[in-house]
Amino acid sequence: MPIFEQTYRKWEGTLKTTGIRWLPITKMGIKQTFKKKRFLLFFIGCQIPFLVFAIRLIIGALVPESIENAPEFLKITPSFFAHFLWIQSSFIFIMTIWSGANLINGDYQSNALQLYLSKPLTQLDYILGKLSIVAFFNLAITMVPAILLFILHVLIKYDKNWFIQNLWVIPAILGISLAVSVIHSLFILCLSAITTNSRFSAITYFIILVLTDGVSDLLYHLRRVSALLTISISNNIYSLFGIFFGKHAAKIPDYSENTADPYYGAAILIVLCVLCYFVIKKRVGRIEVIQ
Amino acid sequence: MLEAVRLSYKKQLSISVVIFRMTVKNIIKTRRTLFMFLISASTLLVALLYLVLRESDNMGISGYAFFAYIMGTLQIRGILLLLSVFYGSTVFSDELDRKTLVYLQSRPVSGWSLLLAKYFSSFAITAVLLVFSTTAPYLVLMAADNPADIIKNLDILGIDLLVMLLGAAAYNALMLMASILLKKPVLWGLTFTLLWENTVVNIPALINKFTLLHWLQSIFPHPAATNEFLSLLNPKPSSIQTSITMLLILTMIFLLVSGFAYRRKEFKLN
Amino acid sequence: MKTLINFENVSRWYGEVIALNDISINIPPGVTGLLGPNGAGKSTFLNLVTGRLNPSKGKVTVLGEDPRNNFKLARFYGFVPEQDAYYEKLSGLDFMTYMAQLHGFERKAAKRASMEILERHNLITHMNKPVAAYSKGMRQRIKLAQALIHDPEILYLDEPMNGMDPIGRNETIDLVKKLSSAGKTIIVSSHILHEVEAMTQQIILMHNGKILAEGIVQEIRGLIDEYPHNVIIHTDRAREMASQLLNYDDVIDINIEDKQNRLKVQSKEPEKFYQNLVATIVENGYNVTYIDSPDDNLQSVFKYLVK
Repeated sequence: MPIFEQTYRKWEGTLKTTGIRWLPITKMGIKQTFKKKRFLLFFIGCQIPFLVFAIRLIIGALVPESIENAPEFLKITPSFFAHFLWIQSSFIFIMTIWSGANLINGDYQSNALQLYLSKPLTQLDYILGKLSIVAFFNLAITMVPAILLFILHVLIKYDKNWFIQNLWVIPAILGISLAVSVIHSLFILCLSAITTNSRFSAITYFIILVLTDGVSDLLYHLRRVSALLTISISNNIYSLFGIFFGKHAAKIPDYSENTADPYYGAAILIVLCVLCYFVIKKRVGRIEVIQ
Repeated sequence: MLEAVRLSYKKQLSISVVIFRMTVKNIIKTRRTLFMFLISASTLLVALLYLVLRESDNMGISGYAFFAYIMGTLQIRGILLLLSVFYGSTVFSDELDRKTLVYLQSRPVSGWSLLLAKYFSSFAITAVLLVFSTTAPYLVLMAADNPADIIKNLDILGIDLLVMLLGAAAYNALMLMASILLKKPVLWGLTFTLLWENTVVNIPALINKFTLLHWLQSIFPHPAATNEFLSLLNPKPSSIQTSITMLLILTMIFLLVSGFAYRRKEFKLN
Repeated sequence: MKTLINFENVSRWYGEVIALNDISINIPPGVTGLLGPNGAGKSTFLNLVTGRLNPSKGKVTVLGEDPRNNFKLARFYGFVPEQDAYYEKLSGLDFMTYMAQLHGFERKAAKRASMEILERHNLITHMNKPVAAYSKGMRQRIKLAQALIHDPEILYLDEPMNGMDPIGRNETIDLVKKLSSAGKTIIVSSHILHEVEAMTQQIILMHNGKILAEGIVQEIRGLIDEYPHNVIIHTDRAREMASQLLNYDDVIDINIEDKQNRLKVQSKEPEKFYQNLVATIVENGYNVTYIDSPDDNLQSVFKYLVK
């Protein structure tokens, strides 16, 4: 029987790299965030609208189609899913702050950035790893429950025609969820990379969203020009519903009043995302000299 | 031996002043304060945009009406809350984050002196920024109609400034309390101010009195901005005297709770 | 002996973890080394004496008073925290002036006192630089300086030599000795045994929240019966001396190294052994060039008790 020395032994296995180098960053970030009890409660709380919409869906499925005066809200149309995502988009603000405000500046404070960049990871890997943590949580309260609602409807009330006509809703859900999640995630990461304090990044995120909204609202009140609505980042994000859900977006309450032209809005958001990415890239891996 | 050490109130006051000065100095020196200054300058920016847009088109909205609108939307429901949440939580939380609280606790500084110094430093900075963000657009917008309106409507400006100062006092005290009691005071502060305050204030009957915004809006000389649905609820404002008294009482309560919580809480270094 | 710090059946726990377990101790004036591995309870001990924590059970008194929420006591002690804590934007001079002002110094007096103490700690040339730009050793020195600026009676040092270079360490050890001879009471918490040994022989050894031993290092060593005392003797007549020493009943074992002219003796009663050894050397005229006890030190005490 071999007797092993109780000393340090060199590992004799082979080093394997997975295709996704940044995946450990994501997994660890998600695991650490879920460990916080209050966050877990908040996360569960964000799923309450899913329950409400699921109940609405089930009731809608029970109401026979032959009933002429069935309430409009029991009819499951693409705007049903758009409305759900619209409501969930408002939870994304808090979710983004909670999961993302500390992601990069936390690494600055604990000098962990040097550890990351001394591993076989590029700056892009690091950014993608961090981005996917926030995006994961945002998608978990938007895309995942929306797709589940779609599947639930199909399972409860299988209608081949309805399914074929509305199959496009799935990519629409994917598209709007990804777009909203990535925009918020990049934005908070950019702020986290600029500041050394998570409190400041959280409040800056809120200030910019609230302030641009307020200024846009004030100016729109002055001159009813829809271009002024594009000043508001939130408005631009909401206007994306028009791109993905088309005419069905107009049936969402508050949609037509609050939203700017979707294509202008999308262009501004793309520019914002690119800017955020370059800011993060510049800040990560920089050397600070204190004199 | 200890009885011989008479740390007089005068000495504690002078130590409080030292902490106040140092806190203000540390905050002012940061880029964050520059950013907050720009935020508070947004009302001035909007006022200047009004001037530009007004020149190109003869609009029906007077400078005074637009000032009222800015105050009712951006200022009282945005800038006041955000500045107070930020500075109110920063002054104490920064000491915890930097781990420098140990230096303050290993000095003959009473907890009350420390907290009051911190509170007044955050209040002072918030107040200065709010005075700027209220006065600057006032001057621009009153002058836009008729420069004589600047003097004519000074009483309105006075009341606006009073509301801002009372709001700053109350919210800063609330945030100081939150930063002692809670781990993520900014998150809770934002959730409370932007969700609770902005929603519940519109609900009639007793419940809206559980918001600071109700008392502030009761004193506010401008109509509060709200959406069509919420405006149907039509909550009644309280009297000015009651509102001022309640705000001062609530400020005192938050400060007292902060003090007692600080004494009970153990701030262990990790 | 006058007691400055007293722990009476003190326990402290965090949830299910017991950080200090029924500690009763009186700390006299002078330098006391608080030793133990990480997690032994040293930091909790210091947090209790400085009043930052409340004992879960028992009573802590410093100068006869409860330190909890007792800001007046802070006039009498200085504390050097283990953590690297500083105000980034403040220069060394501004930081020290602030610390002095918090003790009630007037501004000019605070500035003067700060410059004096910065000079004593070799930081005067860097006084206008931000503390964030200091090296680790310099930040450690400024932490020590802020604890001393008001000339306290008691000094609590939590890992005071972390990050210091050898010169800095020696200077700190000398400073501690000087302060002790000036009548200060100093508690030094550390896990670097030889440094504590250089400062004091009076130790409190902690492990898993309990006090394993308390007192002078040699006395403690003498009490550890299960580990016989090792003595190394260099002499040219090693074998002859060995045969003489074997006659003593306290000698358990002797190992002779002829080539090195060396004896390794194990004795269960070191006091008695040394007396016998001196007598043997004198009677027989042995030429002894070297005597050492490799485990008559803190390291061995630590090893034997903590095992």
